[in-house]
Amino acid sequence: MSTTDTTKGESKETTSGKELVSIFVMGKKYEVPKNLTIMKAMEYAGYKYIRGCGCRGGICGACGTVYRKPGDYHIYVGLACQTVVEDGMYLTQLPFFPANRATYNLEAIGSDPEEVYKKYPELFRCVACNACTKVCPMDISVMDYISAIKQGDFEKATELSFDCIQCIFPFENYGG
Amino acid sequence: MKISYYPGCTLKTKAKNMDCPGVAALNALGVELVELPRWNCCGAVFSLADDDLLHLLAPVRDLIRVVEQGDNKLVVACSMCYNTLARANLLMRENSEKRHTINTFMEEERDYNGEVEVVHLLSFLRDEIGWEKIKESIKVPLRGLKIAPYYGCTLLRPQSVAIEPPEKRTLFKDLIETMGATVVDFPASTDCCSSYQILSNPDIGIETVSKILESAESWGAEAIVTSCPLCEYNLGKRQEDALRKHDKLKELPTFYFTQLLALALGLGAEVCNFELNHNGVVRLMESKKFLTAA
Ligand code: FES
Repeated sequence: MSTTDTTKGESKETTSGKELVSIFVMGKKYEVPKNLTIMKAMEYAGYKYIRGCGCRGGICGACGTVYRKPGDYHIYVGLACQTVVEDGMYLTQLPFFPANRATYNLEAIGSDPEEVYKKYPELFRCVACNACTKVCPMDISVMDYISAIKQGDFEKATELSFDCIQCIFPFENYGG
Repeated sequence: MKISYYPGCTLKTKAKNMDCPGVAALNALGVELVELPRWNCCGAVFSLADDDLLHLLAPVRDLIRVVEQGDNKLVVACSMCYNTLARANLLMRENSEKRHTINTFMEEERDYNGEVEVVHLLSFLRDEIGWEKIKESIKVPLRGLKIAPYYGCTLLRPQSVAIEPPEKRTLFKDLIETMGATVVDFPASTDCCSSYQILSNPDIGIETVSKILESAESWGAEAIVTSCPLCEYNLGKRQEDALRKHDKLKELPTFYFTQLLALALGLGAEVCNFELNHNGVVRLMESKKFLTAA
C-alpha cells in the first residue's frame, strides 16, 4: 500500500492524492482513504469478504460492525456497507452466531402474547434498556414493538416493525 | 377530567377484566383515563439489589413518557405496577448518584428527576373524585354482599410507597361501603398471597392461599376483592387447587375492585369481562341480582 506516513491529526495523503484516515481492524492499524465505507475500507486494506456481507445496500443486515472512537466511551454499531470510516475507529466485525428464528403458522397462532412467549421467550426478559433500538441498522423502534407485543397490541407491533427483515442484528450481545 | 393512565402488560392481556371495567367506571364518573401513547413493561418487580440499576430503566422510562405528555401525575390500577413505578420514582427523587447514572445511561431520553406523582387508582378515587360523588353515582348498590378486602403486599409495603398506613387502612373499606356492600375485614387481608412462589414452590403457595381463604371465610366473607392480577391469579385461578387440598374450604369468588365499581355504577356485566374470572363469580352476582342492568 503506497501512502505518505504522517502522525495522527495531520492530513495524510496517498500518492494518488487521496486523504487518508487510520482505522484499526482487530487491533491492527491501516491507513485507508477517507470517505470510504467500512466495507470498502476493509477491502482496500486487503480483506476479502466471504461472510458478513450481502446486499451492500444497507438492507440485509449481514455486515453488522461494532466500533469505538478515540476518547469516547460509547460502543457504536453500524452497517459496514453504509457507515463511513472515521479517523481512529476501532472496528470489530460481528462473528456468526445462531439466532432464534421460530417457525409458525401465522393463521394458527393468532394474536396472543402467550404464543409469542413460547416462540421467543427471551423477549419477555426485556428490561427496556433500549439497546435493541439503538443497534437496529434500520432505525426501527425495536423496544417499542416488543412492548406492543407484550401488551397484546399486535397491530401496533406490526406497524412499528414493518421495515424489519429479521436480519437478526445481534442486539442480544449488547442488551441486558 | 383527563388523567394519564398506565395499565401495565397484564391488564392489557390476562387481566382485561381489571382494565376494562376500571376505564368504564372512571368514565362514568367523569374521568377519562388516557393510556400513555407509548409505554413499556414497568419491570414487574422492584429490584432490591443495590447496584442493579438496569432494572430501573423500564419504570423510569415510563415516568419519562408521562413528562413527555406534559403531565405530572400518573394513575396506576395494578398494585404491582404501582409499587414498581412508585419505588423507582422515589429513588429518582432521592438518590442523586443513581439518578445521574440512570440519566446518563438513558442519554436518548430527557433527564428525569422524579417530577411525576404516581397514584394508585384507589387513592385517586378517594382524593380526586371523593366517596360522596361516587355514592351519588351508584345505580346498583351491592347491598347484602359481604366483601373481604385483600390488600396483599404491594399496596402497603414498603412504607415509603404505601397507599395508606397498614394498621389504619380504610381505602378498600370506604370503597366497599360506598358501593353499598358490607366490609368483612379479616386478619389475612395484608398477608402475602405467595406471589411468584406459586410457580416455583406450588405446595407452599397453595398452603398460603388456603390460609387466606380460610381466614376470609371464617369471618363470613362471600367474596374477595383485590387490585392485583397476581393476587387474583393465586386466590382466584389457583383456588381450585386449595379447594382440592382442603375439604373445609368453600368456593370464594374473587373480584377486582374495578369490576365491583363498574357493576355498582350500573354499567352491567358487559364491561366486566367476567369470563376471565374464576370460581362462581357470575353465579354469586346473579344470585344477588346485581347483573340486572340499572
Ligand atoms: S451488506 Fe447488506 S446491509 Fe450491509
